[in-house]
Amino acid sequence: MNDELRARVLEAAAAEPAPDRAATRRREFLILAAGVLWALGVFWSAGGARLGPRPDALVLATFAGAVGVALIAFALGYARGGSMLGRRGLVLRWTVFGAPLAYMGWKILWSSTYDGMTEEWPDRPGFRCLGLSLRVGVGVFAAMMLLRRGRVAVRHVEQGAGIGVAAGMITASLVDLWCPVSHPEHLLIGHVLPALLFAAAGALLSRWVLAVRRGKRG
Amino acid sequence: MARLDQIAARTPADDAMERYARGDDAAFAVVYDEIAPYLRRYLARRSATDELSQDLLQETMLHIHRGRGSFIAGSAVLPWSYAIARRLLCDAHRHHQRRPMMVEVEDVCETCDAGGIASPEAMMVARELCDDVNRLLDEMPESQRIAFELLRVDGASTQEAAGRLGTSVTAVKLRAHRAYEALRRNLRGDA
Repeated sequence: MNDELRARVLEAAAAEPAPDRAATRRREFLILAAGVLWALGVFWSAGGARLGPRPDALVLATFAGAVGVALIAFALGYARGGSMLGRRGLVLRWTVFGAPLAYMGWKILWSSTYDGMTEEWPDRPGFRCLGLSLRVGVGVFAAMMLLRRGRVAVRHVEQGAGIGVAAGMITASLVDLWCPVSHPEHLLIGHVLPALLFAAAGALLSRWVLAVRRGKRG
Repeated sequence: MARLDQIAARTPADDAMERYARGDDAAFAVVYDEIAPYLRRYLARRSATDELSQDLLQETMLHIHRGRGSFIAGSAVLPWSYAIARRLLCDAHRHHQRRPMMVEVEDVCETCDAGGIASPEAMMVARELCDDVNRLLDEMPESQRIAFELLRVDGASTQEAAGRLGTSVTAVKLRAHRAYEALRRNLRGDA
């Protein structure tokens, strides 16, 4: 019985070629690149970077901070941290809520050092940024979810949320170059909310997209 | 503290999986030979039929095969395989509307030993306790749950469990102790 099962398993594996690490990395690079190209394409079609009326130094500082938060969110929310079991649930949960707050705090902190940079823009409550962020980020989000499709064996809900917030923070760093408003309410609606929506989408879709499931190819 | 699956001491299974990830197709048979016996025991105890446990073993190994390109250098294959097997087991039981019972009623009912007859009241109390234990196990960190299951449910010694997981005896004891303490604390709180 054991020999028969062994032969069956080995035969099934031999009949279904699976890419090795090098081929997988090439595939991952291409898929991530496609997601990033999507994001850049939507961003440029919306007009690209718009620096004024902000001082160049402010734009540089807030963009650098946003990129830093995005890198940390990517490392903690998407990357597996050297373990096939992924990050601990506590790390993922802290990332989901901590990364958007860190971005918002950084943006307000730096903007407040310049006169008038945190004032409200009545005609810019944040919905344009919300729409742009969702359009920009959906490609990155889809790419990252696709790369983990059927592979998450534990904590798939938290992992989905982590992937979503990582995509959201990458998006926020790009949209930061486009949006001159640093009013807290605007930031919440236009820049933090998209990340949380991606996180929610990742969590909701995790069972069908990310989780290891019977009869589903990983 | 080292993660359960980030080990200093590597097992033959980990070495074989690393070779397989790099493209050595012949290494899959070695991976199978090293981890299948543990997975078989794990699945056999938790599956309703032998056929189901064999199917789940095959699916677990195929998931490992398909995911070979994503295997992280230096990580451990056995905890990963256990996690996949458990996930597939949950899926199988979901379809049959039955949760995988890591702890059975007979394990907790003092008057329900093999061949024994228990009163309906004792059975009801045991069943509620069983449900509580399984719920707590589900909520537990993966590392503690695996250690508890290997020692308490599979009956492995600490040395055997440490060998399967590629970690130290001390680490296994610590994780199992934390699992026991969590169960004791929560069950005592409910009493």
